[in-house]
Amino acid sequence: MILTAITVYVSYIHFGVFNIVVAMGVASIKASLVALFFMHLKFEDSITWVFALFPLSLLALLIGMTILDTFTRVVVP
Amino acid sequence: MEQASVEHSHGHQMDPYVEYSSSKLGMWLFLGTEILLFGGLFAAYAIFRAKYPEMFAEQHEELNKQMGAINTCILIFSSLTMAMGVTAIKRGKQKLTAILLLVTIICGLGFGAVKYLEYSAKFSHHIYPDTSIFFSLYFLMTGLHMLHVFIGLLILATMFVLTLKGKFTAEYNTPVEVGGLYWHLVDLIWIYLFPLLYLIA
Repeated sequence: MILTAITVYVSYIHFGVFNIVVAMGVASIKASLVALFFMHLKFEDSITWVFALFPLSLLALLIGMTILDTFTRVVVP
Repeated sequence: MEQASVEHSHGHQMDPYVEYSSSKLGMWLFLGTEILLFGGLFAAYAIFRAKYPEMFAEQHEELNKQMGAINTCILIFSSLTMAMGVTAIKRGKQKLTAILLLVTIICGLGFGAVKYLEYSAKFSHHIYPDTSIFFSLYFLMTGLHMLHVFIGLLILATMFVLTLKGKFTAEYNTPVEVGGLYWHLVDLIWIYLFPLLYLIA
């Protein structure tokens, strides 16, 4: 229920001039709450945590490395 | 207990708890692959957004934020009812589980209905996936997500029918829980999709 309230509040922030960082931050908090409680992750054993967190680190690598690559390319004239 | 183990042999796991934990673990593994699937699209979004910020800012105004926000609330609420459903079946309450599953399914259908309205509004304004990079990404990402919602609905519907038939009890409810994990993933993906597509400053 709290999540729904946060969602509605955040959707009004778009009328201001707010950073994508804030939006992503709120999304991550919501996502963590969903994962921890709805998905029961908080009460699972450590091997499940590894299975859940490892893809996230791979995801960080995927997006991070791709960005690093595309924006450090030197365009040959 | 030993009798049950003997019946379950023939190379299968003998301990029901081991079966249960491996099922959950297997689903988490699958969820990881789904996250990486969408991750590729998110990477594309990040790159094109950084390269063409003005186009993104200008074109995302076309999206209806209210409908997006409503969809977000619908999905989070459906995740709540799903989690409640799993708790209910773990306490052996079959009827309550069936009702909660039905509510979840209805929410999923509602999400689909709102998306249908959004898409038809776009098409009537002649905005298609090939209108621009932003809309290619928009239609592709939300379309792929909608496909996952649809698959999730099929899974939930199966769970609903099986619950009505009394196949799940407080002792055996793994499919409900594992199907619930899939539905939560669908919600998670939307939680990130919504601000990135609808709420850019």
